[in-house]
Amino acid sequence: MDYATLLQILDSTMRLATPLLLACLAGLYSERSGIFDIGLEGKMLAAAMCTGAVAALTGNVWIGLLAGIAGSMVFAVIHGVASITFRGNQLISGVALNFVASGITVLAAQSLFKQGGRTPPLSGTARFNPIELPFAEALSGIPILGPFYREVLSGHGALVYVALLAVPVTWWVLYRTRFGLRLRAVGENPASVDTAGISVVRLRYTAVMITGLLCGIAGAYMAAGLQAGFGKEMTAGRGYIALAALIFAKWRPWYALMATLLFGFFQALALRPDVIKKSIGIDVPVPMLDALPYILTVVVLAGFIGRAIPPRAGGEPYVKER
Amino acid sequence: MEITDTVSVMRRGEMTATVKTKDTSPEELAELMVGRKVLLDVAKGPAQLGKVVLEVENLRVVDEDKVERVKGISFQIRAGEILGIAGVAGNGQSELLEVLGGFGRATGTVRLNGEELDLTGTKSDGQSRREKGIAHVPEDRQHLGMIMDFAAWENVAFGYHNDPAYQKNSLLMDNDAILEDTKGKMERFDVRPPIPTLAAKSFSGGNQQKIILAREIERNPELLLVGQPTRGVDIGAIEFIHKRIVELRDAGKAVLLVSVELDEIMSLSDRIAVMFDGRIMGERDPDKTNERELGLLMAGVTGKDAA
Amino acid sequence: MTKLPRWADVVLVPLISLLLAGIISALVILAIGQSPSEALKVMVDGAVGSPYGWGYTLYYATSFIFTGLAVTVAFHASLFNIGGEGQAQLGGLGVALVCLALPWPHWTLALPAAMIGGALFGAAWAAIPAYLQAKRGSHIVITTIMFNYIAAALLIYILVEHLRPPSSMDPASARFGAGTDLPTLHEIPGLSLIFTKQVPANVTLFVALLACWLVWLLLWRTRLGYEIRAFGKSEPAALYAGIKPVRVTMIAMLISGALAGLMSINNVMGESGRLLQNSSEGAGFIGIAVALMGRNHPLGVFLAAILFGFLYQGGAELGLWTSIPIELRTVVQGLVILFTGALDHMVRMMLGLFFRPKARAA
Repeated sequence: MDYATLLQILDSTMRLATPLLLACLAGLYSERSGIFDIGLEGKMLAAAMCTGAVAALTGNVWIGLLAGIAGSMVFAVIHGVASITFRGNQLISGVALNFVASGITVLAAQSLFKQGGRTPPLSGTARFNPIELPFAEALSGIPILGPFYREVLSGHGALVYVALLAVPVTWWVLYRTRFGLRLRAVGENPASVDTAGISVVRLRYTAVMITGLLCGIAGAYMAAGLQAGFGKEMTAGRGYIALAALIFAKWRPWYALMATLLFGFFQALALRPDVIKKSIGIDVPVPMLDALPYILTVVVLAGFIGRAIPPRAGGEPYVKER
Repeated sequence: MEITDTVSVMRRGEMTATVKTKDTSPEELAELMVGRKVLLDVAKGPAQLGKVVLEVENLRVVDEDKVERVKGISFQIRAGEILGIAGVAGNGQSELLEVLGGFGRATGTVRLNGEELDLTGTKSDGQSRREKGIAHVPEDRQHLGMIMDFAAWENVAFGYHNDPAYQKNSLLMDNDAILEDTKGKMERFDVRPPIPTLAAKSFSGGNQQKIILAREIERNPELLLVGQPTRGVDIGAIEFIHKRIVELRDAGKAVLLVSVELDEIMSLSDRIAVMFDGRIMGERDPDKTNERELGLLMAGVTGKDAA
Repeated sequence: MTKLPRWADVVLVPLISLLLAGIISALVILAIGQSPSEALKVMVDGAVGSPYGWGYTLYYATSFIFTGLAVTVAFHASLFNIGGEGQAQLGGLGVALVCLALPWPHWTLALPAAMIGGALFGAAWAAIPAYLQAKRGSHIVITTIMFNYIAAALLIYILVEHLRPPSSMDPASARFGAGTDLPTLHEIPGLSLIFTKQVPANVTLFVALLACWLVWLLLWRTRLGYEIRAFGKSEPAALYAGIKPVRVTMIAMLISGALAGLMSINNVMGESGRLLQNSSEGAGFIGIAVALMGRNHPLGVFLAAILFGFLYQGGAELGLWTSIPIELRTVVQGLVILFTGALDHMVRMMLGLFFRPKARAA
């Protein structure tokens, strides 16, 4: 593999890792607060449909983004009601909402546009267009780093940078603010937080809403950044891969960035059968490449992490002691 | 003692005393810690000691966090003897019971009637222990001893579900036989209400404990491990449970009793071993010791330190 | 919370959940500008209004019984097997390989062999996530979902590269021999008086009913079932009782995968007579709704499977006769899972309001 090819693959790694990273951080907030969320997939899908539809109707991607966030938030609230207020099974709630999202997005897109459950193709201001980072051209003369800056870091849609920025912000929120301290505490030992006079319910709802917000951005990027419009089941398991990345990252923000970049790299590699053939000398069938990110996800979950310890109170509804 | 100005003593979830450190002594604290003796009358004759049933040599338990919980303890129990293990909760007693009961890994040697037990391998599980004649009334009955959603009769088979008496043929269990057995056990152990189909969680703590005790004691085990037999149990049931444990001992069986209630240890045991920080601090004869001495041992103060 | 009588818990809670899911679905239909009552009429007419409709409803129900039982067995061990879809697809491969391997003289010989093939392949596909859960603690929900995607890719590869007849462009296997045709309800003496037209429901229905009974026996009458249920309720207590977690996890998942794989004798062998891409058509996922709705009991699974058979066939009719997309089925399925599996406390609370006065009087 020569350097130019590598840069191409890394460039698509950045784009493919973005929805994973946003979803992974989304899951991080929820799970750190003690609420498991299998429903990242559904929230992303709902957001992708809302963004695709509204951006197509208004021609403005930013209004589309807001619609996407709103759509994702609706699902987040339902998950919150089921798992916080009514203390239901969080895994089942997530799975259920994924099915609802999978069906209702097609229903809505079909009734709005009558194009077989898709939204119309987006273009121009209805998409997130590439942003040229400063000095990308000027610095491209510097060996190795110059082209890397121009090809890989520069030239992505705005949400890619939002996602990258969300990593230090999440780190700061989690480890440097009072909210973050409480969030981490409520996922480990909700009773102690309750004893300190802080509302467990409110903290968890806040976390679940942040999850909704970030999944909304992830879905918006899917529909108006990575691709040009919404299509049935377009998230293709990314919500679950993000969860696997979250476990791999042991629920920490910087590790989440690395984990999602790794999974993004797998996905980018799967898109380049020519490169794989050149590197290992075997003609890998296309379906095998399609399966590659999923296989590698299982390998990562099984092999590298040993036992990842989730937040202790994760999945357990909090019942106030009388 | 060295770094505090005042000391508060908590007992059974209540702050029972607060004293100035300079005005107190380890002896006084010990007495405050164990509380005053509630006279529990256990009618109990002198022990008729038989052969050695359980031999434990240099037993060590390291937990998942690589913390050594039991630090090389050795003791023996004879047939017809109740050995009481006293100690403040969390000093290795639970781990000791778990290892002897077959879950949890350990190093060292444990012999039952001269036969060595597997402490790490495939024969180190609850089933193998039961086959060898070790019955176990666990410390945490709701968490370990029973399945709270199961009916009483299903809990009577818990751990003994492979018993041939409970099987109809090689494939199916004989639920009617278990039900019948449960009815008898409920009657003999005075479980109320005597309804075998009621879920375990619907019984009071005392009645849950009686179900477990009936299950374990009626197996006529060589060795009974029993942890906190009367925690959360009403007074009437306490007496009943104590009586049953003494009966088993009088039938020539060995009993290992772990309790944080010093009264219970003193009134039931034929010999008392005190555990502190994973070690046995000393063994005492219950007739020749007192709560103050035991309390000091429980706090890790041996005779030498106190003097 | 008021404690509900047992019958209310078993019967009313699922029914109210279903009602709630129905109301919301009706709102969804209204929202996309269609008439809910019209839709319901089309569904009822198409799914249960004629023996022909029943022939389809029962055909789908047969598949859902298998996948519902698969989810049920895993649930009792406290394992959430979302991989029924992939296990069913692999089961389809097993069935197809058996059917294509020999020139079977008669279906009575082919069926048992195909059942073994389907069950083995389904179990094998569940084995890896089960092993990873048991030995390495890898989250079984995520691994089974990943295995669904991997199964889909694997099936395409095998169909296109190996099983596709050279002359065909379809990603599908060759047709199985006539000796593997399972009798449909139309071809069974006696039943043919009711089912006067050819229907897809076939003898597999009776295998499914047998499976219900066997799963009931397994869970409530065998030592293994006892161990599975005890382990599912409390792992620490199971350890105390000497139940081995790795063993129970493995066996429960293998049985679960085998049941999911078994469904393929219905669709692959009984209906299409060849292996198609995406042969299970989401039945593996519907198993989750069926198991929850059926309260994880084989009898409940049977009833819920019929209900979802109705929903599936009715939904297909909707897609055919109205402009309501077939994906409505997925929405209803999700809503049923939501209400029966996650919002069941809410439904109980609602019911509790009704039962409270009575409880006081008594």
